[in-house]
Amino acid sequence: MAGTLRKWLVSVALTGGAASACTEPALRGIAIDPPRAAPALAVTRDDGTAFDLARERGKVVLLFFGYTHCPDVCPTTLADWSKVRRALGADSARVRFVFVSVDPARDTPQLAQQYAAQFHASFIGLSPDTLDLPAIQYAFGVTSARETGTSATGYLVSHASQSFLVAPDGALRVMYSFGARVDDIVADVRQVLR
Amino acid sequence: MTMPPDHARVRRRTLALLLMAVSTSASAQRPATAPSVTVREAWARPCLLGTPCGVYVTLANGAATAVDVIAVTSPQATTVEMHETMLHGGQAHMMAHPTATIPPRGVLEGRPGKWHLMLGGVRRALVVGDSIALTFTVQHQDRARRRERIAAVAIVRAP
Ligand SMILES: [Cu+2]
Repeated sequence: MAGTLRKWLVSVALTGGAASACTEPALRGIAIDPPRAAPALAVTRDDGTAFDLARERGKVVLLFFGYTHCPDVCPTTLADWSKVRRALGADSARVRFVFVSVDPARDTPQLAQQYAAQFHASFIGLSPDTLDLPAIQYAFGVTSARETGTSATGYLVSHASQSFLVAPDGALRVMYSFGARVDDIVADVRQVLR
Repeated sequence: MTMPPDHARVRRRTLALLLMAVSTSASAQRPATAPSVTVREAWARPCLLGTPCGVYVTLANGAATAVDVIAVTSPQATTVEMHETMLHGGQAHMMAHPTATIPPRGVLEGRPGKWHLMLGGVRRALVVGDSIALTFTVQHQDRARRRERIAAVAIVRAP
């Protein structure tokens, strides 16, 4: 299956890919090739309800792993998402924007949710249980580490700067580098919603 | 987003502190010549109470010699650190720098994912429209090692 897809992608590239009328346009982010089923992500939210990624079929889920004490990379990514949400217009109703804390020691579910909601009221902020976090990060292929002594305001956390797109069929389809263009994310979301 | 009830009061107080900061820097350390360092842009994002706040300031140096930023303070924060974000293999790290250099006739650009200020102990959550007063102490790399204080006001922008 994977081999077939790769061969197909090669033939798409050779025949001009996105320009050809009979094939889907290429994704603009970093395509996860072959797409794989998104790992499990089930976390209790601040209001006691559960967020379960498996129950979001039919929607696009954008995911980012960060921490609320992050003053630069995390708010920049979430601010870009708020531009994505605006640009999507009515389509944004079929998109979930999910921030996952990798610093559960400081980030309560309430704080994670407040942090995400600064960028739009519909954004979801999750703080997994400390015991669940390593498995979640491992499954998504991301890591984080505490860095002490770098700041007068408490420890810092180094963390993955990429964000992920989970397609409506539950497949992990695209990864975005930090600073990815808003237009590119919007185009990819529209494409996978089609 | 909810606005604290005493928001207007906070902003008035911020403005008062700001005017104080500007007049202090103008009278206490008036340089021999016009200030050669100017603030090009200063802005921030909303920030929750109890978390560090990122602020982006771009400083321009009109002098023919480099200028070092040796300190940054804000009456609204207990600490102001100069940080640089670095991406190693997709992993984001932040490094604190005690000083930063503005090249001769060049700029030191504050930008997301790059050089920024990190404010700790900010007394209130920052919401859109808030202003943050900052004072930069800069030292010229000329023979006189002349120091200047530069006032800046960062405005919290909508995300
Ligand atoms: Cu920082």
